[in-house]
Amino acid sequence: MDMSLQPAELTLGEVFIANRAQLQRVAQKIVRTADLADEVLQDAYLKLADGASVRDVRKPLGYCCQVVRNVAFDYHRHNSVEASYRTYCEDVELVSPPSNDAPDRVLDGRQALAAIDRVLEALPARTRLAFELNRLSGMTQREIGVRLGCSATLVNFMIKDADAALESCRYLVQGG
Amino acid sequence: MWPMTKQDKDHDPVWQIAWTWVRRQHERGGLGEAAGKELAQWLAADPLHRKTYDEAARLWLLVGLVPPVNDVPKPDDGTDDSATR
Repeated sequence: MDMSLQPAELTLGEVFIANRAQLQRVAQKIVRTADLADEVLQDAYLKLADGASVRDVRKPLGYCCQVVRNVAFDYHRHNSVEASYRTYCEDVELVSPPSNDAPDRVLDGRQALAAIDRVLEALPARTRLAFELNRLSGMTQREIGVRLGCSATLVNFMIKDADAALESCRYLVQGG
Repeated sequence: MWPMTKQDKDHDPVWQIAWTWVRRQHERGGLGEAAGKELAQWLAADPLHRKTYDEAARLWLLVGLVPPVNDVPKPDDGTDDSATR
């Protein structure tokens, strides 16, 4: 579906379903197999409403892509770690078993996202912009510096500030 | 609000290392083989490392699900679908 054809009344879920084939491709480029991409899509679909509860999403398809991409990267990251673990640390597997970071272990996704949003909102606007360019657009600190017209060193400080602020959100993911 | 003084007090070195690993895993190209091995060995060295890493990864994902307040570009990492540009 062309983005320009999206009526404003469509819910995120409807946009997601209408663009399922495209989102599937986004996921599969990251996780490689169609089966895993299906899993990612199911998981991502359930997470959409949590994000929408934080604020109105101005670019619904863009946000659907963001959620799919991030869930897919998380699957990929998890599988990479488990593979490395099996290769290099076979003997200690029983001591420290592979984690099961299933999404439903986060108690309340909506509350967690709202809490994170509040922490990011307390940062200076430019710091949040630098952080979003890094976290969501995957830009390097050097690229962000060029975009914002400041030094990569300053960007590094801003990202560190954001990271430090986010450390205060640890309680959201502990005890799972 | 998070006053600067609070950040130092709450600074946890294991968390910082775990967060940095998760961050590196999401950089373009990801971890190379050598770094992947280093990460696996760090995780195996102490159950606290594994626990903290899993928490950092979970928070990293959640942060990535917050709708942006800025109009930021899509990643230029080949996951984009050119049909929608």
